Amino acid sequence: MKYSGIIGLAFAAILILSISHLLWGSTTMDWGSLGSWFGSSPELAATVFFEVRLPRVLMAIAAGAGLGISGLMMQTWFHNPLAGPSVLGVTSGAGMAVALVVLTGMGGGWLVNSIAASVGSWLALALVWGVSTRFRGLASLLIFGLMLNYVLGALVTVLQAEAKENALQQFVFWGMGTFGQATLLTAGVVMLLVVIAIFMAFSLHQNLDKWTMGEITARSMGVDESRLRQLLILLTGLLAGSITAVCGPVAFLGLATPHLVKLLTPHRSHRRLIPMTALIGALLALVADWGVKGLGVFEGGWPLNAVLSLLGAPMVIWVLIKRNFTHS
Amino acid sequence: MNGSNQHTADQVIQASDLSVGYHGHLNVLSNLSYEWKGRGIHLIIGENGSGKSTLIRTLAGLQSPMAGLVKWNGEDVALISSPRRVSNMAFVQSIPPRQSELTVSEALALHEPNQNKVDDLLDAFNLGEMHMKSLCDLSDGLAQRVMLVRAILQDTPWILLDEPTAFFDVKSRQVMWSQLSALVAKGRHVMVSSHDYHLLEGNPDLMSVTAIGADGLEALDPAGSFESWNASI
Repeated sequence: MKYSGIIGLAFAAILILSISHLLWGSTTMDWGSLGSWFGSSPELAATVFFEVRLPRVLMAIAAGAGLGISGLMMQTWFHNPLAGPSVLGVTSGAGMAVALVVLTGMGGGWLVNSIAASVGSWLALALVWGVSTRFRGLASLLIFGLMLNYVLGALVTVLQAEAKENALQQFVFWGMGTFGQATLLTAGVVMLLVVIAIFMAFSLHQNLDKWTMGEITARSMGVDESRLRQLLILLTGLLAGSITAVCGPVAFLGLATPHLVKLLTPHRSHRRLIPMTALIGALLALVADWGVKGLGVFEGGWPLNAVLSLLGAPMVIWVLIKRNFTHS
Repeated sequence: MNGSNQHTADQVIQASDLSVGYHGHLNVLSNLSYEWKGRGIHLIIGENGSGKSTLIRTLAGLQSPMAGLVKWNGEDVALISSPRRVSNMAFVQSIPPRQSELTVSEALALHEPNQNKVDDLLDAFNLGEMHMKSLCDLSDGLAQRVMLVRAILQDTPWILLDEPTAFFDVKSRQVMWSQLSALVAKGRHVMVSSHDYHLLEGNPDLMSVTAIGADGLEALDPAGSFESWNASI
């Protein structure tokens, strides 16, 4: 499909899904009754719209776009199609930090959890990027991320075994991930950061293209790799940290989005990939949030990470088969 | 694009008291003082593991020397700004990019936005049909040809190539050497490390032959036979 076609369709789909999310929820609004609904209890309507639905939609768009870009940047930097914030241990870092404050009874509020999540993801990210210069092979880095996930997971289990019941329950809920805890302020702040990060990523598009051809060739084409690395750490940390802080750990969007984009289009230059990844990521997040709302049919709905994993895992497998993955 | 005067003026690469290698390892080559000057093909030969790649990367300014200096036209490479390096020196690695998903067109557009110019060069390398293919989907030999086209499009007075023909079939090798001769005719300077030096025997564009031996670098006669070069490594 043509680039402008994909961009146009994605925009339209995001718009339609956003409107659907704004109109439908546990309290139904539709075009016809919108006036009367606002009319009958305008304060409730305004509360639902501005404090529940709008922040949630904005957050889903920001998280989808941001995690998609974060995944794309990691996959490009590490020359590895399996890289992504949750694969390389960044999400586990956030999880570990939140477990520490929640399960030891130090935290509990969303503010404390958010700060802990940010700090945790930055630490894990710094660790992964730090050791990445020591690993020559690509597989070793993934194994490092995998092991980091195991170790942090084990530590979280230890904390869980020692924790009180209500703290445990709170942590489990945090781990399910949600766009629904965002306020207009937090969603707005994350959206702003995501927009800044996307522009930053876009300004690097030529260097990212050159980087795909390998370190030595990129250097001969004028890429300053230590500066590129610093900018990418800042960028992915900003994205993964702030999104995890507000939404909890969000699975698969970072890993899966770039693959879906590459299936939809033959373009591989970052000038094209970055805008498409941001839009498709936002679109996926909005689709997944319909699953979370129980497709409007089931009462309770499903946890975000369950929906994303059920959606994301088959998608990645399908993409890998479809692209006939012979090179790794 | 550079001015054409830059291409016609004689360029020189100097090694002064140069030691090359990697941190944490012994120096691969030590105390080299040498000069490569003038347009034409400069050949570097040496056995496997003799340090050809390390030397040529260091001369290209892509790797810091362990000691000593590399100078381009008398200037210390370490002090030359990145944009000026890019307009002075193109480099082709021995291994083609196996991870890059960029299409051939996208990779080459990084240097030359004029598609017609790109197409002409692609045709010269029998790559006309490859536009929309990803680099990682090409065979090593084809991908390496694309990288050579990329280096030529960088439009620099020097092109340094590290074992460029390792993945080439016989026909591609001949195409490459004739393309390099065409570049020399345009005033370019080419430095190449290669095991295929028998193909350069009797080449009128061959400017210098440097052997990496046990005692460092040795200048050989570019008009000599390849057996005589062989005896020195």
